[in-house]
Order: sequence, then structure tokens, then C-alpha cells
Amino acid sequence: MPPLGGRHARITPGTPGFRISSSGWTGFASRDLKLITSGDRLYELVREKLNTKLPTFAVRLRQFVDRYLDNARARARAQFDNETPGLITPDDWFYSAFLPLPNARIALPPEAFDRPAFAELSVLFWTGDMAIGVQLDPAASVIGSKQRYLDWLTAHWPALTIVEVSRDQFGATGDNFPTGLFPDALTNFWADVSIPQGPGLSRNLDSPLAV
Amino acid sequence: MSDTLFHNMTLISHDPLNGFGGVGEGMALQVTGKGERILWIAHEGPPKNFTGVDVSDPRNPKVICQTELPHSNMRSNSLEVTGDILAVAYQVYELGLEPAGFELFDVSDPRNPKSISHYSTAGPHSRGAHCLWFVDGEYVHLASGAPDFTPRHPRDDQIYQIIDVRNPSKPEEAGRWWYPGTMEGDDAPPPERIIPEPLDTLRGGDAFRLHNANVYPDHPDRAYLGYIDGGAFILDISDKSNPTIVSNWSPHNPYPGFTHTVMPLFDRGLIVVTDECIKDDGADWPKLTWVLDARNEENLVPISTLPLPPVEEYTSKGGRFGSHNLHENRPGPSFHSEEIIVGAFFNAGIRVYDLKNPYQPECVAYFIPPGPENSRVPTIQMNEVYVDENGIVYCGDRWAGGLYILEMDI
Repeated sequence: MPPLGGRHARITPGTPGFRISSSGWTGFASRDLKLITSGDRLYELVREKLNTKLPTFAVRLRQFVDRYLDNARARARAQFDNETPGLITPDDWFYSAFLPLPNARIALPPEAFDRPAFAELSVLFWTGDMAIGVQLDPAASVIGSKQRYLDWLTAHWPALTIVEVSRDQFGATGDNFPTGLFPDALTNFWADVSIPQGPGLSRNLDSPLAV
Repeated sequence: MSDTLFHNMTLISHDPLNGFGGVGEGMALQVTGKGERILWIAHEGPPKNFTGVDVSDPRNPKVICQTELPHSNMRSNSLEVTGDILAVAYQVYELGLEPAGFELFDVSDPRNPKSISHYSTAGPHSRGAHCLWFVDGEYVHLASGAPDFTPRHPRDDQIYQIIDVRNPSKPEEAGRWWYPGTMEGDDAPPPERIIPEPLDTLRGGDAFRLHNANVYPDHPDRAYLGYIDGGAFILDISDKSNPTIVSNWSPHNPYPGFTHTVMPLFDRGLIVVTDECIKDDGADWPKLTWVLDARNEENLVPISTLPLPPVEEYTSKGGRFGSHNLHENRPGPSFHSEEIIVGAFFNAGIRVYDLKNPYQPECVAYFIPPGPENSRVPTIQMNEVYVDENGIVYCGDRWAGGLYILEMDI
């Protein structure tokens, strides 16, 4: 099983960070690539692909993912706007942002609860060193079993940091993203990237394509 | 717990409320300045008005306050508490009687409620207030007649009224709305009756009147109305003096009416709608709880209903069987979930649903105790439910059983 697929991620020690440019998750088909006529169109295509990973009835989660992407793109532009123009544009650095894994269900080992069990997080990021879990609306009530599973995960995965994003910090309207709640490793995603890459092509791409 | 049917729920205590165990559709939890947890309960009928139960230890509830109605031709049935202010509805059984409307109480000392004010909705065509919603400390959202409202059909007498109580000693109307065509003089034609009923009583079905109006503080511009045979309405109340319709959804005809509660799940773009069962022995079946796709609030689409136990079995047990009240995710010391839905289903008891997949809701817990003594029917008739922030479930029997306190194991 590859580390990253359309609906799964497998994290072991040494797994590189999952970025938007990582291969395996987009499922781009040939016809998708034919639609890429501009940088903006590629960005929209990435957003659309990520939205297909979200549950149908997840208004708030959808807002979070959209604003995360917009914020990452804005941060890339702000960071690299003053660089000498060349082959690489500021927008290219956006694809080095870490990939949000929405509606994350993390499988717990069988010995944890003697039955299949999954800890739930609104979103999970993997930077290669750190797992950052996001809990949207931490004030929402959590039933006993879900809380036990999450407690087990946090007790047994030292690489995991959970960031709680309250309603006050992430309003239903507007376009704010609570950057200050997240570690620099997530928000300064370009830090250990020497050359940005575009979103990965699907392995199933069946014909070469000149874009 | 012989004869109790249960799954993933446990009874942790029961209180018969001093023998006055008829619980209406008002339950609300107050945390006092001293940290006491008081559950306020409105009674379904006379002689009692409301009861305060100390549930600081839910395993050992204690009645600390129980009040009387002024006379027996009325009931409270509905109440809410915000901070230390308790709002209690008054409904009379005959047009024109008083007191009708609602009363505000200072319950900072819960053992000695003190009346702050009384807002009257008495009138020649009014039976007063059946239901109220008060969760922000600012407005009471009321289903009530009014002294200046003349319905075209006598059962269409309860309309939506928004009462400003920011000065609780002087409540003032901020706005009102009614189903177009139900007031004398309306330009719109009167609505076509769903299932006409004789007019020997004003209670019951065959009504285009308001039951519940829910307004949530983080979405103050929207009111969610259960308008009995009129179905579910979403109103824009950004201008409280002029509510306007955003959308309306009604399954009635072919379904038999009585939309009761309309509860939005904002973060998911869903709405849960209940139709109240109002007749014994399945006479008005099916009375369902609907799940609506509300991602486009102007076009509500039903996508599922909450599964219930077999109708052939439960309509032969006696009493009502079907939907009624839900735990409504109200602000305050309250359970808040957009996946777990807890409802009261009369002789099907308290039932807990997982709405993770809203196309296929799943019942994950239920509790059905035996019928209580002195009830008018042989079965439990779970009428109202409230779940606190710790997941403790408070629920009550409509006729005689009093308060049941449950724990979920889900």
C-alpha cells in the first residue's frame, strides 16, 4: 500500500511529509490535465479534488479546508513575491503546502480496544516529523467511545499535536484563517523545500500529455 | 428494571415529582451562582405549574420547588431558563381566559422563584402561549394567540411572536409572523385543510398554527418554525419587525400533519424535523422524524427518516407511538452534537440516533421503561428530553411517571 492514496494515508517512521504536491492523492485523469490552462485553473482543480475527499454534509469542514488553501497560497505569494522572476513563480510554492487530510479516521491497533476502533479528527496534517490534528468546534459534545479512542491516540502517538479551533477563532462568515494557532512547521511550509513541485500526476495516467 | 427495554442506556435515577408526574414539553437546566444544577420542568396539565429539581447529583435528584397554577383551566407545558431568568408559558383551555401568555421569574434563589413580569396574550380568540423558546436572555420566541389576532379558522390561533425581554420587567413585542391566509383580512386565501376535524375542541390537529420556534444565538437572523399542518419554515428575522420567508417544506398530504420541531445542524447543512404524534394507538401514524438536506436553505430536500421500531407492535401496546420532542442543542449547560440526536418517542421511549451518515441514520441506544402507575395509558409516554453537557439524559413521562435520568453508553 503506498503511503498516500485517494482515500488513505499510511504514516510510519520516515514517511515524508504529505504535501499538496505529493503523488497519489489527486487522481488526476488525462482530461483533468487538459483543463489546466493557467496557474489559477490548476489551483482551482486542486481545490476541487480536495473537496471530493470531504463528506457531503460538512459545511464547516469545507470552509476550513478552503480557507487553509487560500491562506497557504497567500502566504506563498507574500513570501516569494519579491524574488527575481524566473522559472518558478510565487504561486508554484503553494503546492509545497502540507496536504490537509480531512475527516481523518485513524485506525487504532487491535490490542487497544479488542475491536476495530478509529480515533477521529476534523483534519490531520503530516509534516514528516509532526502530526498536526485539528479539532473544529472543540466545544461540541463528544460521546464516550470517541473520547476514549482519541485519548488513546494522544497518549500513544507522541508525534501528534492537536490544535483546537473554536467558533470564535474561525467564524462562519468571512475569510479569516487562524494561522497563529498552528506551528511554524505547518505555516512556513517552504522552509525545507529547495525546489517546489506541482501536484503529482496519477499513476494511471495512460498517455503522455504535453501541458 | 423488569419489563424495561434498553440498549446502551441505563437508568441512574427516577423521581415521581411528589406524585405530580405529568411532564410537559419544557425542561431546562440552570447552573446557579452557587454551582447548584437545577432542572426546571413544566407540567403537562394542572394543578402544578412548574417544578425545580436539584440534579447536582443526578443519581440523587431532589424536588426543591413546586408551584401551583392560578386555576385548573390552564397549564404551563413549556418553559426555558437563561441565566437566572425562567420564562414559563401559560395556555388556557378556553378562549379569553387569563392568565395567558408568559411569566418571567427570577430564580437566582431556585427555592423561591420571584415573579418579575407577566406578558399577557389573552384575548377573545386567544388561548395564550403553548410553547416558548428563550435561550439568549434577550428575546422570547413565542407560539401564542394575541389579543389583536383573529384567526379565520379557530384552530389557527397560535402565531409566531418575538418578545423583547432585555428589560425583563417590561417585555415588549418586537415582531410577529403568521401563516399567510390564516388571519381575518389576509390577502392570501385560507390554506386548504389537510385532515379536517370537528370543531368540538380547539386542541389537536387540523391546524395551521405555530408549535416550536427555534432561534440560535450564533445565527440570530434565522428562525426555524414547526407550523403544525403548515410544515417547516425558515424565516429571515434580521429585521425582527418584519420576518420574511426563506423557505417552507411540508410533507403533509399525504402525511398527516403536525410539524412540531425544526432543528438546524448548521455545521453540516442539515435540518431535523419532527411531526408530533397526537393520537393513541397509531390513529395518526406515520408520525416521523425527518432529516432534510439544507445546504441550500431555499430548497430543503428530505433525505431520510429516523428508523422506529415496528409500527404493528408499538401501536398495539397502548398510548401514543411516534415522534415528538428532541434534545435541541440549546446553548447553556447542554449537550451539543450534530451527529448524535436524542428524541422522545412516547411508548417507544427515549431513542438515540447516530446521524454520521444522514442518508442512513442508525439507532444506537434506547430506553423504554414500563408504563407508570396512575397513567391514563398502559405504556410509558416519553414526552420531553434534555441532555446536559455531561451526556446525562433527563426525560419525562407525559401523564404520571415523572422524571427519569439516564446515562448513555455509546
